[in-house]
Amino acid sequence: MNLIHFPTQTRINDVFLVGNKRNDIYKKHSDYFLDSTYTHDLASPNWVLNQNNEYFDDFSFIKQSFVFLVTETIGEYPYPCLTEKTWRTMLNRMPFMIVGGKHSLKLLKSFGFKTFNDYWNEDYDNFENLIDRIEMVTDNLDKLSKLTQNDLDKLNEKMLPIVEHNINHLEYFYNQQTIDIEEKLQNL
Amino acid sequence: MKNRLYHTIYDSISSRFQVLDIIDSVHYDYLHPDILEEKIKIFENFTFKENQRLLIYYHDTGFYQHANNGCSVFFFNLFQLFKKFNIPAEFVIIFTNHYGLKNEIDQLNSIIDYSMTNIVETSLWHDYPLVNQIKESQQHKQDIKKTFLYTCLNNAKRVHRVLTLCYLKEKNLLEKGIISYRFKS
Repeated sequence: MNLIHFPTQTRINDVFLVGNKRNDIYKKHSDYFLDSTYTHDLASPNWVLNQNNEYFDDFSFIKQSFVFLVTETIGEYPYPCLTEKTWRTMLNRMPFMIVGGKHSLKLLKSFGFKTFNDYWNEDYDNFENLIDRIEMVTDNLDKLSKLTQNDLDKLNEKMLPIVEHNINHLEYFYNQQTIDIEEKLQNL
Repeated sequence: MKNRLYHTIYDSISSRFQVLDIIDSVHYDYLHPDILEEKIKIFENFTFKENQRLLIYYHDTGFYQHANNGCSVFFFNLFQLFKKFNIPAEFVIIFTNHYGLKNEIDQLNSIIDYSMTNIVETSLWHDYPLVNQIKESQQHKQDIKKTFLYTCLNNAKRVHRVLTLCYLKEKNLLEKGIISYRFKS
């Protein structure tokens, strides 16, 4: 067998969409975004110091929004991969939807985190097809956009126990993972 | 080389094993495999001591090609090179934040006739919040007025990010969010 050369161009253009029959929305709007850069005025993170005098990004501006739409590092995988985009959301006590690999939410739940299926449809997490997942996530947002500010505030109030659980669970999960890896290393 | 695993985890590994090298997938996934080959060739027919290990970091990576049964191109190449240069699998440990990689590795083992079994799936990478950062955030409850429907921050260009923004535009939701994207080549 020969080694595979997977050129950068393929990575960007994506075999997935080129050959996909459901690429109409991509075709219609992608030129608007491709080869351009945009940052909302609020979205330039500040650098702040933590207790160890180490600098880290302050993403507290995201709290000015009702929900964080996480576009994870990997989207087209048949399995999940979680990164700082998801952890940062929890660290900032934010409700979230994830455009990522299939079963990203299922994985988070298996870790003991809580998600928001009581407030919007999280069936997207089970969809095989990336386009279906994105369609449902944006449908959810569309439905939320029809609510009044007052209704959104009330909904936010109801979700507080979940976001509070998640921020508190981050440390527990860290400890749990540490023990888990120690055990695995002993067997390697 | 910048260590991508959470520092306490790496400390634990290096206290148990002599880490000979770290092969980090993000440095090779989209480059020509010749560069990966040069890296692996250093260990051609190498005699590993019992406590010596090569670490593979597989994170933020993985671009699929139908031609190789949907397996990661990086691993497809890596396993072939391991075989070519006689690197025994028992001295290699894969760390990943891709939960499901084990199935993919099993598939590759049978395609390439290799026997990689040392795979550690973990979320504790350099991007997991520090414990004191978590404690600090727990203490800071701020009641901030939510004037935007959502935030969607996109860094590098990836198809699911472009597609998500396309759907947001189609549904006239762009104006309701705090968004960013850096898709300029």
